Amino acid sequence: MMRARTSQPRTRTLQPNGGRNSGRAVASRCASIISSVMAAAILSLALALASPSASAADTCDESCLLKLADSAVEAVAAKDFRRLPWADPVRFTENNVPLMIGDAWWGSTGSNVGPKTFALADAETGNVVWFGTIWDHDEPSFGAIRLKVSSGKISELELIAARKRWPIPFGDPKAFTLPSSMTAPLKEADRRPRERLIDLADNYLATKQRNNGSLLADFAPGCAMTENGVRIGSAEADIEPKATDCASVFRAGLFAPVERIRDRRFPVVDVERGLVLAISVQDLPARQKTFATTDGKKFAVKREYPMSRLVAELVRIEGDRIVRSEAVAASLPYRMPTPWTQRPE
Amino acid sequence: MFRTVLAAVSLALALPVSVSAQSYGERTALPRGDCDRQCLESFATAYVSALRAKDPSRAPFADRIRFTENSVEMPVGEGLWASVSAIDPADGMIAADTETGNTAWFGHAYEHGNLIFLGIRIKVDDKKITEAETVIARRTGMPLIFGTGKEPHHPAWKQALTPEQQRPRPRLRAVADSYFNTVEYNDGQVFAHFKPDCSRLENGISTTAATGNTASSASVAEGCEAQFKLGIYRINKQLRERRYPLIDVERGIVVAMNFFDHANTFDEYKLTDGRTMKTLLKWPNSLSIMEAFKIVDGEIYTIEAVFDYVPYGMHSPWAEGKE
Repeated sequence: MMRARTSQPRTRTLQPNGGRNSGRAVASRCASIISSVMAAAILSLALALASPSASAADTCDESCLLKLADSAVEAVAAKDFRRLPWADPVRFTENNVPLMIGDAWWGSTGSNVGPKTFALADAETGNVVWFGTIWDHDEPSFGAIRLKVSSGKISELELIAARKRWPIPFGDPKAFTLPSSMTAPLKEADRRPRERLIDLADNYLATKQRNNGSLLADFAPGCAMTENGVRIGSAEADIEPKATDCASVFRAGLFAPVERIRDRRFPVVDVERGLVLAISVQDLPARQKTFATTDGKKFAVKREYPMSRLVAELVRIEGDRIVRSEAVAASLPYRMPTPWTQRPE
Repeated sequence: MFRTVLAAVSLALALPVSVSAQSYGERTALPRGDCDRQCLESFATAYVSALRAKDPSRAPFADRIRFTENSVEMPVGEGLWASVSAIDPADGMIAADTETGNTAWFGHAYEHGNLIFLGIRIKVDDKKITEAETVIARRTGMPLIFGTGKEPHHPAWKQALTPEQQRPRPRLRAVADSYFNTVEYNDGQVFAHFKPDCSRLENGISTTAATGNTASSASVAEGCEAQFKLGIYRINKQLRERRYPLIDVERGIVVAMNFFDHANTFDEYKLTDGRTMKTLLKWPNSLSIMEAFKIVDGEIYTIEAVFDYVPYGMHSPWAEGKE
């Protein structure tokens, strides 16, 4: 097993035009009016204050983040983690398990790269997510890969891999695409601030959790949800509802078997496109083998045992309405905690 | 009078010292003996009876109870407690370790009518259950060997050994560990010693005697040692977080837990006789395992195991800080 380490020197290299220069400018102005000793002290203080800030060149912009995400996927396919700029320490998980870089998918990967379905970067949080086809040897799966980049270096790498044979919906990974309408820029009037988008995505999850017919979010007509390339109209109940749009299935209570959606995170938000990356863990205890929809009908659950699912979904929001969700969902042991939340719920 | 006071002071001073000197994981350094085999077995039966009733209040749990299902910690009452539909307390293989207060139950049950296999370890302190660790094998669509629930437990599990057949605790543990060393990176080298008629039941099905099930290792080679000499289990990159909480010297039983890590950096491999095998899955996965060994004369005589898939590299909350 290889040990995670950076190929870069461990000493911090300040970037041009970033906090360092603003610190220098302050120091320079001060130096003309006070003693050099004082200036040195102020320079030290300015550097200390400026270094941790996320000012322009100390960060990785959207294009830089997207490039790093592509590079990470290529590095895995080449089984060569040394070609990437790692922070130290760095954290890597595959399906909720902390592992060493070089282990897990790094070892089973095929040489194919993608294709990429879509990638979304958020320079404000330093996160980028890559959705696409991933390979273990010659077998394709659905993958969602999140990177967090600090000072141009990867400090977090999270792989959510939905692989065949786990108890999950599973379509054709080689046909993993998004409709262009999902990623098109929004009209100005339909854009909402970051915090609002996160609230709306959270309300979408709240509607799905213990789904009893109440809508805690507004859904656009024709709103659709897919998991691993499969259109879903229930929490894997033994039913094919006639109306599979989000509002209809939630009004019917078809996600009632999802008892809890916990450890919710929203690390990537794109205001211009109304997209939010929501990562969460869904608990399905299967206390009963049937559940009742809001009209009183009973349906069987498809999987009659307790299980949890790790879900990374891209939620499209237009105005104040949820329009679509595209998810990569992996199977977990029931109630498995996630290492990414500071205080697991 | 002076002596009595001095003795009391000495005792007070000695007590905190003894805490740090006690065996790992033990609440007290005082040797047990308050719950003999029959007593421990009654706790296993009480646990399974409460599980059958889906009512944790019927089990003699301590105020602070730690419970896991497939290596995830959760409140008692969750997981199988909420979904079990049938289980027969009398149908299990029971082992007991009066020295550590651990007892184990291996058997099958039904969950909403579906057959599952189940391994339970319980720890008893002061006549209360303080720990309950369970491993459950379910049919989820993953490539898992699975019996019918009708295969009997080997009668040897209930039999006491003669003094000549017995081995001390450290040796029993070493023999079980040598089995795991053999399974890990299985390339034909055999570290463990097996009885010629060694057998193994995994998730309720024999994997050492041909049953016609092609998913069983017995379809490639019968018997314990022959399989390892062939290197059937080459895919096990490592057997991780091994624990041996239950050792029964009188009956020669060790109950162990660990994870089998299948990194699957390769998707086919060769047996030592040149035959090519394909891995069941092409991607990384682990098995969470509870495994019991019957060791006679220092040799493995029979094995019973329950296991199911978990995400690759998953940790056990029971092993934290012990690696």
